[in-house]
Amino acid sequence: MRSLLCAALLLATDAAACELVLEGAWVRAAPPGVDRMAAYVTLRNGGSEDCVITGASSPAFGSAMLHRTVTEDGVSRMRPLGQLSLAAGGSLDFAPGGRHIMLLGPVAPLTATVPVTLHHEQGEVTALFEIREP
Amino acid sequence: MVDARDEDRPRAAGRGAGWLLYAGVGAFALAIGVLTWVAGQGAPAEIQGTVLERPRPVPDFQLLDQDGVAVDGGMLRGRWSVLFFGFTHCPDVCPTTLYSLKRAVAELDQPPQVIFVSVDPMRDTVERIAPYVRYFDPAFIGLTGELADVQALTDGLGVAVAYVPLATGEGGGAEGYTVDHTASLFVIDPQGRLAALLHAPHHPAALARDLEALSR
Repeated sequence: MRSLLCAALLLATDAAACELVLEGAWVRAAPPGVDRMAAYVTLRNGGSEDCVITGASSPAFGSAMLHRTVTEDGVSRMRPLGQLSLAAGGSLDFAPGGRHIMLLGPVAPLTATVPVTLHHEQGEVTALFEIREP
Repeated sequence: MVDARDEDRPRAAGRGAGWLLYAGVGAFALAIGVLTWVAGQGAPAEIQGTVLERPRPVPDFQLLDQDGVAVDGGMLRGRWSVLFFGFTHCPDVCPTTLYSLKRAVAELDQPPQVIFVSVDPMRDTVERIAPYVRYFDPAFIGLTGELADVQALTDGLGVAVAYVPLATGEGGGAEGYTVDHTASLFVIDPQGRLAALLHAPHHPAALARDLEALSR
């Protein structure tokens, strides 16, 4: 009986290898005439294996890309972020001046929130990102 | 609060000791006054940036403001100014900085004029710049113009600018680039000279404090 329980437990943990959770998700409101907005969030991995984050998307925008601002010797550069690996139990911040999700080309007038999906090797997670002034 | 021990302290005897006391207090007050004056004369002790030992005149320029009005270096004389070089297609650094500037100048009794200079005049026309700067603060100024004129100013101030292709997933083309640019704030004195650079990251409270210290 005990070995059956153990097997069941093993199966349960194996099925939830990468558990990606999105916290504090928000999008900075864009000035008039601007077609791109930066989305910020804290990613947490509550699972037992690394999450390999591969990209983002949103039904409200034509495209969404992971970017990073690097400020070095006083010069700011925005560069695409490739895959990101988030260790089990770890967290990763997307915050102003650093990593962000660039949402490009709104397909319709925006409401108070924007659905954004983070894709990873084992699936995807969607959250509603709140549009904020700052 | 009266300390009981005051009663026990021997009083100064005679007019001589009293005179010494007044002289001492007077000298102390004078010293404080002198120190305050001296501190006000020199460069601020600590800012998040670099104060130029010798302020450097900003090279003259010919640009357009957000109302399409032709402006030149004369606009920098008579009051303090803060120049920020950016572009409207910048989703992260530029809005973050402009918002910080808005919050910072709101704290100041005598705010400097905030001037956003586009390093991407190809896309940032007057029509595009106007609602952009006004969105952050109706008092903010936006400058754009011919690429050569913008470059004359960025070269003259040592502002780094580089155009880098960006795969936007829409087939690239004319829209598909980002602009690497100096993110420091250029603080200009009322004589139109570069007095200091303030380095990123720009947080409103520190920015307000540094701007006030520089313009004292």
